[in-house]
Amino acid sequence: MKGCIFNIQRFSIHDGPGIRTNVFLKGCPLNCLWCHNPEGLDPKPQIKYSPEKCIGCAECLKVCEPKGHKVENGIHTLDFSRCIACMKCAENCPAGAVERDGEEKSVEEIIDTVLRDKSFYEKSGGGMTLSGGEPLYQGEFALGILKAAKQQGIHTAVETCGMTSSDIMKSVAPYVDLFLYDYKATGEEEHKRLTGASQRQILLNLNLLEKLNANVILRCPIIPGINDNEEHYRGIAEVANKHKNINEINIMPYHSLGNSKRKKLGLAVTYEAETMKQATAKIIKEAIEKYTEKEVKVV
Amino acid sequence: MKDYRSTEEKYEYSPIMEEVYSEMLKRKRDNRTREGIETGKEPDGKTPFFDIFINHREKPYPIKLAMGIVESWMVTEPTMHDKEVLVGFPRPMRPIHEHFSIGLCRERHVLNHPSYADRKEELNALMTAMRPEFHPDEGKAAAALEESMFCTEEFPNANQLLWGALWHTGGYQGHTVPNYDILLTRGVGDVLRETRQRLAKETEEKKILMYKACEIILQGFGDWIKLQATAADKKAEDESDPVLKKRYLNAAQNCRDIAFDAPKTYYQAAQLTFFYNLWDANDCTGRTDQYLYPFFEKAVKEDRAFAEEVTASLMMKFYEHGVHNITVGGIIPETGEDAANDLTFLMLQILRRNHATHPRMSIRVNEKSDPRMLALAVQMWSEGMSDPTVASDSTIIPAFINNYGVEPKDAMNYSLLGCQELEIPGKSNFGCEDGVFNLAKVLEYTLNNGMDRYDNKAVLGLPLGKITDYETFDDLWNAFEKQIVFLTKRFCELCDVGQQIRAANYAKLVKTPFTEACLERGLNLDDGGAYYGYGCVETAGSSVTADSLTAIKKLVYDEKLISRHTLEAALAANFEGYEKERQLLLNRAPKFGNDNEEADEMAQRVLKLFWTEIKKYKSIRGMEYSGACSLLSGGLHYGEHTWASADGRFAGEPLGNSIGPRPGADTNGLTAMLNSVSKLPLDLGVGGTTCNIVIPTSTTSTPEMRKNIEDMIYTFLNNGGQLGQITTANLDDLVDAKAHPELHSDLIIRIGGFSIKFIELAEDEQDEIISRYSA
Repeated sequence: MKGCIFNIQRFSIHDGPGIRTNVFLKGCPLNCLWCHNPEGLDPKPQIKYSPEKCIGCAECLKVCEPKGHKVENGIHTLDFSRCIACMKCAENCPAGAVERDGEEKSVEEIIDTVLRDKSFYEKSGGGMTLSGGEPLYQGEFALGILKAAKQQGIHTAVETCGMTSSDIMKSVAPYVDLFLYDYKATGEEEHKRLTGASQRQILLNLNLLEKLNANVILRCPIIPGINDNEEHYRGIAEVANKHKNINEINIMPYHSLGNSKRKKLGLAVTYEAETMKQATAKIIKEAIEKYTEKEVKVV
Repeated sequence: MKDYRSTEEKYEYSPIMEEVYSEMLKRKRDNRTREGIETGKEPDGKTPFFDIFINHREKPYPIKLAMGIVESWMVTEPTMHDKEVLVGFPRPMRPIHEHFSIGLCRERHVLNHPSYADRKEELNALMTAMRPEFHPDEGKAAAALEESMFCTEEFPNANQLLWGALWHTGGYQGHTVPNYDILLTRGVGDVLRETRQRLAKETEEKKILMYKACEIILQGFGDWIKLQATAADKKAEDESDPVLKKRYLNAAQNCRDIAFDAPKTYYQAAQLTFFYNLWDANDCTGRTDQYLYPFFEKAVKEDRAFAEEVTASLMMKFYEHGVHNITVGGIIPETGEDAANDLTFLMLQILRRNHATHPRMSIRVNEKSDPRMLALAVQMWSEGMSDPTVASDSTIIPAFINNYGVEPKDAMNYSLLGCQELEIPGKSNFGCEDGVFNLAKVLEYTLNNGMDRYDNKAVLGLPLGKITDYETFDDLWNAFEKQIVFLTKRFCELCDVGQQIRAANYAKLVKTPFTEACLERGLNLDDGGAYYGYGCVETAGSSVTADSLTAIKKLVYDEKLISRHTLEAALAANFEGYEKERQLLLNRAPKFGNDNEEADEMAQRVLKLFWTEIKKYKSIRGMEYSGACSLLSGGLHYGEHTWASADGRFAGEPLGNSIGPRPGADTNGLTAMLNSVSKLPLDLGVGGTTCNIVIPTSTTSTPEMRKNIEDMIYTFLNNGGQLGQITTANLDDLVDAKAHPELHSDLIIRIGGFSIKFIELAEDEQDEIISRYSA
């Protein structure tokens, strides 16, 4: 079985216990304003262009049929609207300025890489984390990787926004040791405004995981000027309080790396942080702790 | 009682010790500016060393040397600093290289010393006259060099092209760890008795001289210790505080007691350790937590607070005088059990308290180690220190036993020394190091018909062809192999010559009576006196060489993306006009350090070839050469003299200074880099192979994260990694420190075995470090 991933990141120590290898799957049903991994939005491979690496050799111009690459006044630009993702420019760029973002990989290839750090997982209590994008967007593929990892005795975590069918959620749950489950907005309208989608299915899946007695950590990106408000802090605590299988809340302070990635992928920037207004992690943590007994950590 | 095994606990000085410490720091600051000429004090007008050589012209060299060493210590005024526990000593007033038993062989340093400002010519004349005496094999060295070249007449400067570019042979003083066990259990007097007994029976002239020189050193050392009592006596006389007065009187009595007899208390053992270490040029002290522990254990039962103060005082002395490398932890050879003890943790905690660059410390880690030792190390790194270095018992001990025939109990007793080398303390001399060999230069010759690209006529290797002449990758590899075989032979011959010069110099005279087998054999430490006499060759450019070969194999021979003619033109032009090709070489071929089989196998193949080749040769000390890869700034220096390489590196760029990937080449995460390094044939590299591990500060901020770092390091060591040297800092810290050095005086980083304040590095060195973080 094959699927599309955009990265395998080794020595990850922020997404689940111990030393981990993160596998990033492409494709996401949400479109959050602040998305920090915009290369995970599109389920298919796409072109990424980093102008600072361009050496001006113009190899890409020679092979680009839709004429998306242009050099004017010595400046190389890429018109993404013309790009048909044929990948010829990336294959011909010697400098890695034009790159392919996203690759078809088999479950076996992924597990081969994951297994390379097995001794590190064993010592540290780590393992593999599926991330994205939304890893369950490619449900079958994610299931294949998770099953293969469990066969090898590897601890598994899935970092999910929860937006997937109940069937998929039910099918993967037995192979997941830990869900890192996003909770991004409080209130249906607010959720639609910030992520472009309804929250209904996400909350249903959270209930489902409780029934399945799955281990869940609630993960909450706090975005300055977007969801850094008291109502949301209380909402986070209430969701955690409501589910007995949620023992921990993780606060994820905002970083702006997503925007530079957006530019490289030809995507419009949908959110610019008013960083001056960003509340400190400590204040957010304390605000949430007012409403819950559960452990709140900043990651 | 404090539990120093816990990271929660911190060592704190008593108010008195706090005062002593800040006084010491002031002295250190005053002295630092003069380190360039290696002196701590203004000259006192005396030139005892020189005077001995002038006034005793008729005496044989080793006798003059021994007398000179003793005399130069004797005329330096005994000192006890205010409120100190141990009797102290000012920094040397005389050129270090003569003061510390190395003799007059390092002329440049001695000549430039202010003590000789008025007598330079006189001294120069003496040195010239003495030169044949301690350079007995200069003719042989020249012959070996000549043989290694094909165009000597045309290129009389070929030596310059080789030296510091292809290699550096046998010209270094060399570190060893003397036997502190013998010093502390037998005392100076007993070793002196043994020396005299052997001298009485000896008939061979050379050995008689050796014993006589040792006798002078031992007698002089004991007399000098006794003399130090006067400093403490004087302090006691002037002191009204009864507590301090008693302490000074004790210190004075100690000096009289340990001058020739073995120490009985921890206080005495620490004092003798410091005194001998001073005479030993503040070289490495080996497994200090082991040989001092029996004394410490007893002292703690009597007066824990004082035992701690003695330890703090010794560590302060080691800091003040810049002691090189202390090894702690490991296993007890007799029982095979964990050797880490309360003293281990106390010493680490004091180093942590001092947040100092010296003494540098290393911990030996194995499966029996108390895990709190590595946890404490991670804590220290997270606080911005680069010490301690970590060493893997499970990698190192079997390599010593299986590949070099070291007896198991000795292998279990190994210690770090020098920058980041390994040896058997108290009974070995690994040359540390005998030479440096630059593999990247060998590949440069291989691709260019045996010629150096900086001087395109000088044939220094074998003229086997150019890259354009090698039809297949195997042809290229075979040529590379032939060059290695040819040059390694020349290299080892030159190393031998360098060692003969060292041996004739008696350069380690102070260490000689305290190193096992020297007295028994009647040979000095550089002359094959030590029980184990392996060689140690530092290897430069291994990852650049491997990555270049991988890139050529893949892009030129397999995929034919670059033709052989284009590669030749691109390299010859230092990639000027060939940026596209350079980018292909950089980006389209895998690099060592990413857990990529293709790239890693090439690195294994390259190192195995060279390290197997050098193992075919024996040093004049009688045993084989071993590989090592722990260069200081050598990676920078050799890089400056190495032309553009086929991994996309420009001429003059750094080669990397450790066993790890070239800075910036590893992009797959730390575990991938560590896996790549673990796969190398490190069992042939018992000379010491350091892996630089840069950990972002942000990953050490919580206990959970620190536990992950601990587990990562442990797994690396357990998987076949050998030595790890850790630096924590983030890129912003470094960039800012370069721009605003004044704000970052506490930023300690690690460069190939030295912890150093970042702001004290030269600009290009700073840039090289920054490039490692930018990956």
